[in-house]
Amino acid sequence: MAKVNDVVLVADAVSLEYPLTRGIIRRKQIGAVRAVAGVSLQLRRGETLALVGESGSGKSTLARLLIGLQTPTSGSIEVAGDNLAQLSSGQLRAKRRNIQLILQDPYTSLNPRMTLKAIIGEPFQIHRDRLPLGKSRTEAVAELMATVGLNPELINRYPHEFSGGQRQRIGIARALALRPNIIIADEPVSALDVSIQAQIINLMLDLRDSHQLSYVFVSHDLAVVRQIADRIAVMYQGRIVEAGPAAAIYASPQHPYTLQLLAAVPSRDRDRSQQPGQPQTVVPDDPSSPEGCSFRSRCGKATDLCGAVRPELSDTGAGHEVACHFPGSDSAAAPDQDPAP
Amino acid sequence: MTATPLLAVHDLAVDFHTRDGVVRAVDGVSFQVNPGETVAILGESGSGKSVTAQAVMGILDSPPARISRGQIFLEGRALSGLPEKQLRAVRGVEIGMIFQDALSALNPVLSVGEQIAEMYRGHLNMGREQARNAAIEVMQRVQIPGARQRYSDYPHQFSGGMRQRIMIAMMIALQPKLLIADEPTTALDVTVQAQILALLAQIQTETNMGLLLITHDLGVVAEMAQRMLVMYAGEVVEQGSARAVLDQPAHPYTAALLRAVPSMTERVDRLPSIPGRPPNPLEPIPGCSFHPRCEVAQRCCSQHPGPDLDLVKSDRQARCWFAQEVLSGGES
Repeated sequence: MAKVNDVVLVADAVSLEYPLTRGIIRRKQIGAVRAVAGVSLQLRRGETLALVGESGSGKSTLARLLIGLQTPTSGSIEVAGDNLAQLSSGQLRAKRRNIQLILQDPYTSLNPRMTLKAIIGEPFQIHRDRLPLGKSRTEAVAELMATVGLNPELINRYPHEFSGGQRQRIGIARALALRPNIIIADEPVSALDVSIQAQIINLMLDLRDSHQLSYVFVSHDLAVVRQIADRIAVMYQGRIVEAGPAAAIYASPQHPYTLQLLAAVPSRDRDRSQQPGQPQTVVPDDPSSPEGCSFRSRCGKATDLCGAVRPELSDTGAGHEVACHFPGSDSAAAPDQDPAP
Repeated sequence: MTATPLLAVHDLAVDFHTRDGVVRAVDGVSFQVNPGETVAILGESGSGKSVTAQAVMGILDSPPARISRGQIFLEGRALSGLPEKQLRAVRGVEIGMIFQDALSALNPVLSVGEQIAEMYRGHLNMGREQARNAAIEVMQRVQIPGARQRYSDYPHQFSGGMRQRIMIAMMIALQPKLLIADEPTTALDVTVQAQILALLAQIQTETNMGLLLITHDLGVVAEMAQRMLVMYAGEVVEQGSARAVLDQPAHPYTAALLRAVPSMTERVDRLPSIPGRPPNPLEPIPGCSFHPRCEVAQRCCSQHPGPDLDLVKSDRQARCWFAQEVLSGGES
């Protein structure tokens, strides 16, 4: 068990709901969409926690909640022991310097009219006291550029003069400026070519060690996650359905959804053309329902129990948690019966 | 090699005429696709793989792009140089193409059923009712649940995977002999990707259609393709049987790319990456265009381009002076 002071970020039963309304003049709330539903997690010092799941699973929304860009409808988020919701705006600003964001798209997340000096140095305008003692802003920016493997002589260039991989380095340099201890990275290598992706992952691993960073790493790429994550939380429709040490989840996934995800990754060692007519599950577009397990319409093991009672996350041992009535690595990897009606 | 291949591309070169000068995006690409066969073109961004596909389909943005050399044959008939009107009859009917982004490839103000029916009305002169039934039938074939009810739905009412199915339905409607798929599953979740790939493989077995698959994903190549080409900086640097190339690459770029792909099964301390970055097409590199990033490069590599695609062993070609060494290095 981790010591209490080892935990740098805590989410406790965090939910985010978007109201569904009807009518233009007299607006009436007719329901709510739960983008994130009752998520609890902890991030420990120096570890990488990966949030994985498909699009719409709520992983990016959760990342935005963790960094305080959105306020949860219920539940709380604590950074180094302080509840974000209870801080004044000044305190919140001071807190935010400890937690920084790296985004997916290095083409749209950098202002094309700003030079690198302005982009990477901008955080120092707001947090002047974080400028290293006795250094000018230019010196600090040049140092950051060197840290992420960019030539400091290019300090007055604009983002369009750089390739995708170099732009992602610019984004990382900007995130490092205020010497944060937590970095939330939302699909940081998804837009990059394979040969460049490996460079950026290696850079992030180096920085984690040299700067004592903790990462929340949001990704849909299970092979990338395999290389970087210490712990993994698998999300499905706003909930964590399985969480635990990365090695345990890859070695023996317990939730049917995790099994399906892992089985679906195209593999260099498999030849689909040799096995035509594979069973397929075609899922209706909107399988959401208020009760029961939200995954049951895609699950080969689902029973009446799954339609009636939503399974809660429970520990199967060694911190490996799963929310399923019938967990296990056996049989259900690819359900071959017809999709649920 | 006696039968006429379905598609034969011979020594294709495509130039882009830009303000900053002429950029050669594709240089000397040759390959064949046989009926029922899947050929993959693997490459990173800027390698010229999509431009090659667009040239085959005859949908290059021209200007600025221009086919400056080479020929394209469909069942022995030369496509290059055909007037636009005759090309239109080939596109859609004999060659279909699906893209990564189905949402922008579909008409947002026309129901998906009408868009598919239009293929039958436009190309086969079917009547309204007949086309509607044919469209519903092909929607069922690509396994869209409730095809009849969803005929009148618009593209935005479908999920990404369903939209990709609709585009596939539209493209196989006229039973083309060749389907070109340009990153067909890149925007999709892995579980949906697996379904779409299985669907394509199934359609192929049923119709004996040739498939030219453009992708950056080695896993997709391994699962789908019988033969593959690896492109770098506009050139084919290696080609051969997909299984053999993936198991034992002969070009240093292919080898480095394979090493850089993160593994699902084991965790490594440090991912082997390829140093440097792809060349800027406006500043061609003298000699072999991969040599600045290559770990086996010698001085000759900066002075002479790689040899013409040489037969390294049976059914394998690689454009590298040291292909034999790379190949035997991988064996150990």
